[in-house]
Amino acid sequence: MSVDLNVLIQNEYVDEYLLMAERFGVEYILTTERLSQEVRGERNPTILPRATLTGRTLSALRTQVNQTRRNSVIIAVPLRGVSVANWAAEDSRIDLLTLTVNEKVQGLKSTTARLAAGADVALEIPIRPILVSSGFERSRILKIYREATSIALDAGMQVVLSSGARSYIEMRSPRAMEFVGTVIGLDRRYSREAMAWALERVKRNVKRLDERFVAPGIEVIEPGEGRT
Amino acid sequence: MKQYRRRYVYFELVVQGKPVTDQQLVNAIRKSLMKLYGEVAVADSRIFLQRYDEVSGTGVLQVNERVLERALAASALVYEIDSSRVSFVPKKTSGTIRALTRKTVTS
Repeated sequence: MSVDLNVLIQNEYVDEYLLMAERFGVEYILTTERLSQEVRGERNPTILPRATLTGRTLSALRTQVNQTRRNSVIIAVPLRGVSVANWAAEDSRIDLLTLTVNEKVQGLKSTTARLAAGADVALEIPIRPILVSSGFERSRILKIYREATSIALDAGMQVVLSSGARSYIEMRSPRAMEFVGTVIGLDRRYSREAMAWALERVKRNVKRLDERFVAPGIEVIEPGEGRT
Repeated sequence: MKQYRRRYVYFELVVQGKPVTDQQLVNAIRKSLMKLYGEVAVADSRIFLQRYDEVSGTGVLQVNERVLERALAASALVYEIDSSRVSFVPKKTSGTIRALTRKTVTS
């Protein structure tokens, strides 16, 4: 079983996304789209909410984290600007630093990677930009991805791949992702372990969002519950 | 000349749009491999479609073992074939067709 950390689900095609995920053996799909409970429902694979913080200043991001941490399973911050990246890398409420491929891209700095490694914040690499580009544009994206991967691995920062799919056909199976990982400098075993890390992180955070969760190891239980 | 080792890959092609023929598929994989890794990789790859069912999208791809990882990376990055969008799903890999059949039947 596996997880896709970043899928942009279109409301009208929810069933197609779920069908693809099921076909690929994906247990959880995380999306930034605010789907109604009716659409999300009790489905299998499970669709979970994810927040990508869009604030440009530190104060805006702090406010956003406080607003989203109680209703998002994964919180991601796009890599832009050293101060924002360093703040996010140190904050244990943040799960992912997402690599972006804009023209004015701010690559991953080794200092940021070291901070992130200490706080168990992972570098998220969406594969969609590689998928939909070609020629020199794809070379540019691969350069950014390969450099960031190398810096993250040197610093001991976790790297995870996500599909970043905007349509269900852009989703890739975990095994296909393993091979795509080799293009950006990850070996297949690392990619497999990274998927396991992502799955564990999602399960941990789902547990944390449970209203009965107080702190790691402490949760509210009903009288008689948990006794055998 | 040194004999090369073959690998057989059982795959599924998910297609959105018109069905993709075997020739279109193998050309798309070769083209993707060429773009990503160059002419030498394509020359060494010995890519050949052993079996392919247009309706179910399943098939068996034969590849030179030395190029297997690169060929599957290139296949996973095939996004569009003619006007159809696709997602290539490698499922099982084996050294012989017989073992591959056994694996796919038991899974």
